Parts: sequence; structure tokens; C-alpha cells
Amino acid sequence: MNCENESLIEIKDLKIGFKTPEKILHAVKGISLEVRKREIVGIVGESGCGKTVTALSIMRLLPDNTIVTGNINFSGINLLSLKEDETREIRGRDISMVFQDSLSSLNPLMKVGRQIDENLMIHTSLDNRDRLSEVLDIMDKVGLPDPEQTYEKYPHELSGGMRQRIAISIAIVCNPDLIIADEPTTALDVTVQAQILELLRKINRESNSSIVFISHNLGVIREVCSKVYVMYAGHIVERAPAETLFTNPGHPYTMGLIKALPKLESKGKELFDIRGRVPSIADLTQGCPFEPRCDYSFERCKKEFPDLKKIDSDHEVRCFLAGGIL
Amino acid sequence: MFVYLKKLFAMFLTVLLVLLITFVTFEIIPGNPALSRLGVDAQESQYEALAAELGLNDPLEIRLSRWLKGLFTGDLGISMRYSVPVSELILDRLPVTISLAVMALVLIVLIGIPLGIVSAKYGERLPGILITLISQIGMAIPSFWSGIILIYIFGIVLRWVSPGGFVPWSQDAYGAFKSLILPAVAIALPSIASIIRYTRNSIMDQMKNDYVQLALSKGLNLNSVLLRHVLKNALIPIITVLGMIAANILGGSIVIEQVFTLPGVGRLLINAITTRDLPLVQGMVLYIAFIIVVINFFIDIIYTVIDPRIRLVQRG
Repeated sequence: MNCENESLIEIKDLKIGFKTPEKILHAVKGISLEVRKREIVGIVGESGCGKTVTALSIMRLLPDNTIVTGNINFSGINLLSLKEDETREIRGRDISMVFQDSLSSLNPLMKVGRQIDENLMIHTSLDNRDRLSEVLDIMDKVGLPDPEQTYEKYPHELSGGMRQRIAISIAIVCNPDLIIADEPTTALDVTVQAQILELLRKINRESNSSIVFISHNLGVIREVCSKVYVMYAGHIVERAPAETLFTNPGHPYTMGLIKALPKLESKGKELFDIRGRVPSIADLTQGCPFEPRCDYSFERCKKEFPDLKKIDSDHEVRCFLAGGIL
Repeated sequence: MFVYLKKLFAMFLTVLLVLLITFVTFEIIPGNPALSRLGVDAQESQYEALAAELGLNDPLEIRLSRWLKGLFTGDLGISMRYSVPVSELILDRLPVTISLAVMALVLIVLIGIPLGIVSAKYGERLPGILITLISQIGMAIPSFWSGIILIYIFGIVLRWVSPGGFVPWSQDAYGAFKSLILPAVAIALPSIASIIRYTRNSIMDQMKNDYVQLALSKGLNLNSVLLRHVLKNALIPIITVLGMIAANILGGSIVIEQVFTLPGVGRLLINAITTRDLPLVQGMVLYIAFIIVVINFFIDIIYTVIDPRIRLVQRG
């Protein structure tokens, strides 16, 4: 199967800014990334680094006061140049999204079955009976017990894990090429988290959907993704295969994230955290945005902004020291 | 079921309390029904006779228990002013008030809610701001003024409707409609304005929720998201306000009935108070308290129909 290497979505030099009365705040400052067919790609970073905004820009769901430039090439079309009704064709059918908190992302006053059904209503010409059996099928596939009964439930009557399964059903019912999962397990218990991750992997295996997995949790990312982009302050600071990222991280920020993961052998010791805080998107620095928090920073970091440097065939790092002493 | 029984009992207590307060208030305020009926020139003996006839000389607790006893047998007493049963007087006026209320509410719902949705859809853009501005003006205009303007335009200049008075429905349904449409519009206007604002604010609040993003991410267009997802979620505060408006109108639109010379409960209430006609006032208060309690009860039921989560809270 050589389609594995075919590109599904390619983002080039994406910039996202929010217009405010005084100035434009840049949330994403020129990122490029690629997702291939059947791939699970992770985007990791702290809150406010621009990962969710990036996801919403792919869906064209950002509010009116945003300025988005660059190119999002999705199987041959630039999503950013589509008209409103053309994006609606793609939303939910070719690209779909799973949000973080299923309690707030599902409509509290609509039966969950109907919320799944709605996708089919928009994008297929199936009649009521066919749609119902399709919905029940999907509910069964994502591991919801008693699909017929669950169909009639309201979101608040289900557990967090079951709700997230409903959200996933909504995302996959039209068999999309790309699923964007924005922190899909963050609001869940650890055991349920593992089940949902396994479910996403299964969907990826069985239905040929690519997945963009957004998380602040490197541990979760490592479990499901083959390739990872690390974002910091609106930039991609590192790209590497998931395993490489853990065994041989190239950016001081990535190293910090890995060190900050709680480990069994360091039980009882103080947890590591990266000093300082995430810069606000209103902060403007000339040099490397991570410089104020970086243990390795030197004069040049304050003045110059480093390029993404290739240190291996599939490993890029935005740091002057990458590939050298780090 | 138990929940509803509890509610019913609370409703009963509320009404009783309101009645007691009215009774006591009438003990305190100056004025006397016998005197107001006879006029200041009446002779002492005449006054004594009438006061005795009306039972005004009995002590407070006797009069109260007499009235309450009557109440439980469905007898609201005899009006001191009109010398006819209070219930008859109120029932006589109800068709006008209820017709007015229904027509005004229909206008409020059919105009206010859609305009509120449109205004919310356009948010801070021109149509939204325009609707907000107009509704602001609508709220600022008192209904007696818009009533007079309406009479002037449609009743006097255009002569489409008669400028006042009421024709019973049973006599001439079209005539009844024509005599009530202007006052209904006058009553509805300020409420339409406030329903527009409540609808707009409630919808715009709801638009911030994640479920709106999910609905959009399915490929729904904004109109469908608004109507299929947001509207129902936004409805609770709107229903609450609608209930208050309904109670208000059913309690009698004193000013509008005066302007359009309509025989509704509002004017009856004014007459009852100025002539110190305690049985009639008590009857009116009972009616108004009853209306409010019943409307609140229905609103509670509507809540549970709209939002399944409310049902759950009540059971627990």
C-alpha cells in the first residue's frame, strides 16, 4: 500500500491573527505541517500555544475577527480559499472534529442519537430507516452498550466516557478522511482515557481516517501518534517521529516537557516544571520565544529567531544548538 | 407526582397570604365603602343603615371568616358598590381581558422571538444593531402614548377601526377583533421590544458554547444551528419573561383599557379601589394571585418539557 506516503493535508506558512481595536494579536506565526493518509499526527504544546486555533482554522471555524493567511491544502484544494457553503460540504463529511469536553460540546437538549444522525442528514441522502441503522451501527462500533436505548438518552444521562464515544461517533459517522481530535481525553479518567485512545487507534486502523491528535500531554501523544509536532508560542519548534522525540528530543522545550512527565521511578521526588510561563500572544520578542525560559540560552537567542533545522531525515528542530551540543 | 402536590400546596398558601394582606390593608387605609356610595351629604341614619346592611360594623375576624367561608363555597360575596355578585362582575369583564392578552401574546411571540433571532444572528453588524436600536425605542415609549397614536392613525384618520369601545365576540366576531386589535398592539409593543432583547441576549450567550462549534463542524449552516440547536437552549429565560408579561396583561391593562374605553378587569380594579369596595377588591386580588400562580405553574411545566435536566433536579 503505497498510499501511506500520500499527503492528505498540507499546511504551509499558516498565520492566524486576531483583530483587536488596538492591534492584531498573532496566535499562530507561520506554521507548516503535513498529515499523510492513514497517519496519526500529534500536535503538542501548552495551552495558548496556538494548537486549537490551528485546528479550528482547518475547519474554518474561527470567528470573523480573525485573519488567516497561508495555505491549507486538503487533497488538492486550498481550504482557506473556499466559500462558506463549500466549507460546509467538507465539514463533517471529509474533515470532522472531536472536542475536549463532551459535556459542553454535545447539545444538552437533544437526544444523543439524533446528534449523530444529524451528520448523516446533512451529508447523505439516506432515508430515516437507513440512517437509524447506520447510527446504531456506529454506536455499536465505538463500544456503546445498548445502542437502541442509548440513542434516546440525553448527554447528561451518560458518563464522560460514553459521551466522548458519542462525540467520536458524530465525527466518524460520515467516514471522513481526517479527524481532528482536540484534547479528546483530557477531561476523562485515566482508565477511560486509555479506552478512548484505543478506540481512536482502532478507527484509524479500520476506516483509513487520518487523525490529528492535539494534546498538552506528551504521554498520551506518545501512545497514539506516529509523528509529532511540538508547538510553542505560535511556532513549530520541533517535528519528529514520536519515538525519536522521546529518545532524542532536539529542542530544550521538548526536553522540558518530557522531564515534566510524572515517572514511576521518581516517585516521592518533586515534580519538574519548566520555569517561567507561556508568553502571552501580545508579547513580541525578536529572538527565540522560548529564550526567557531556556536553560541553554545565550546571547544570540535574544536577538535572532532560529530557523527550523533538519538534524535527521525526519527530524527538524528550531534551535541554534540543535544537532550540536544538545 | 409528589412534586406537583407540593407545588399545589405552595400555590394555595401564596394565594391565602395575599388575601390576608389585602384584608388587613383595607383596615388600615382611610375611606369607607358606605360613605363612598352615599356621598358626603348623606345623613347619619342613612349611613348607619347601609353600614349595618353591608356588615361593616362587625369585628375584623368575623368579616374575614365570613368572607373565607364564602370563598370555599365558591361565593366571593356581593359588591358593595354595584350590589351584584363579585364573581359575576369579574366574569363579565374576563372575555375582554383574556382576548386582549391572547392577541397581545400572539403578537409578542410571533414578532419578538423571530426578530430577536435575526438580531442575534447579525450580532454587532448593521441589522443586529438596527433591531436593537428600534427595540430600545419601543421599550421607551409608554403604551398609553402609542395607544393614542394608534387610535389617531387607524381610528380617526384612516377609520379602519372604531376608536374605542368593545363589541362582544358572540355578537360580531370580526367587530370584536377589530375593536381589540389596536389595544392589543399597544400592549404588545413594549413587550415585543423587551422580548427581542431577551431573545437576542440569550441566543448570543448560547452562541459561545462548544455545542455550537460542534454543530457547525458537522456542516450545518448558521440558520440551522440557530433554529435546531441554539433556540431551544436559549428558550428558558425567554419563557420566564413571557410568563411575567402574560401575568401582567391578564391582571388587567389599566391604562390601555382606559385609553380604548374597554370593559376589562383593569378598569374594574380601579373602580373597586376608589370606591373602597372591599369584596370586589378581594375578588380581584384573588383573581390576579390565581393568574400569577397558575402561570408560574405552567411555566415550571414548560421548563421540564424543554430541558430534561430540570426534571432530574426536581426528582432528586
